[in-house]
Amino acid sequence: MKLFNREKSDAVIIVGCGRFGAALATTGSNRKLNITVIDIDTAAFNNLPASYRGFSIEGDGTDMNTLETAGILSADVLVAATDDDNTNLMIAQIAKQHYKVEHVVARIYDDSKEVSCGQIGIETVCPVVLSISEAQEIIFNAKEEKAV
Amino acid sequence: MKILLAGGHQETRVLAKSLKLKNYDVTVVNEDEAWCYMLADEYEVTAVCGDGTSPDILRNAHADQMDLVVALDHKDASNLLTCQISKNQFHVSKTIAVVADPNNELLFRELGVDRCISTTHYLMEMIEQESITDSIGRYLQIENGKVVIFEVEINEQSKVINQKLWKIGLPPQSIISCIIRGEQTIIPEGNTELKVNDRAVVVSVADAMEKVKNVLTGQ
Repeated sequence: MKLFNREKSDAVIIVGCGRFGAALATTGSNRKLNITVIDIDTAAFNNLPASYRGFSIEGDGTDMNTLETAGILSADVLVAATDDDNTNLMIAQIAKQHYKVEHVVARIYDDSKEVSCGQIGIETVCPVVLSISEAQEIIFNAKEEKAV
Repeated sequence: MKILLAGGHQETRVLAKSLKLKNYDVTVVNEDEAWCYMLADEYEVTAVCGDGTSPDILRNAHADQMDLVVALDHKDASNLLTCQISKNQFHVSKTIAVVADPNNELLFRELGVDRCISTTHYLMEMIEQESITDSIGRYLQIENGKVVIFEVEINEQSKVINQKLWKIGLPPQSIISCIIRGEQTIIPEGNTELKVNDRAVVVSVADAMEKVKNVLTGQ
């Protein structure tokens, strides 16, 4: 799935403004997408560059009121990128099951937890799995082989 | 019955103790290793040390053989995941999650948790019960408080004494389902009359409760 290559300028919500969330938000903002970042700690918004043109909302991403303030009702993409897997999975499910957001991505550190995500249409990004496949490519030139 | 308690601290101890006393088969999953040892020693429960939201840990705790999983962690998100993994991966028939935010009660049910318990909700209910004035004895909420069952005592000042029920003009969406008169219980009809010291058991929507109370007590 390519989040940022779509022709329409759709609303994207990113929950968690750490390095990952902030980088995604910046990329999206540079591409003139309608980005809203949510973080429970306002200090996290310092990760955003001065050039960032989107919105930032302080609040708990698992709270449906916060999500609605961020415009989840009209959002097309939601990325759950907090530092806690369980929180990400909860946010992703709220977005997918309750608000029927079309594209939902959850960043999951522990890939054993992503079991039921595929069934309900949540995409997962797992840093460990990605690193392994990248390292395999570098070392053995074999990206397709799945070691996990 | 086999019960798994995931997460939590003091509440796990109390639950483990009382469930064990009632001869339930209790397993505890807790991240605090010392706490696990303590629980295992003290109450002879099976204790598994680890994260209750990890499928591997839950498998070690034999989640697949459980009849009931109770998620007691302080984070709502963790409890949701524990219940969902138990349900989807280990086919546990009943899951209960403790939630801190009462709004999550509905949400979690939508996401497949069988029951949610919110202490905040109970607290709110209790505070409300306290604030409901003297004339209402017992009070019970159904369907998240949309419907209430409560008792109103008919005292001397009441304007509905010796009146037939169909005449007293209860607000819509409310009904006197039972009258308690001394040792007697009466399931009333339209022609039943109310007497002094009767206790009327009313079923109504929550919004009508105040009005019902006013009609019956004549305030």
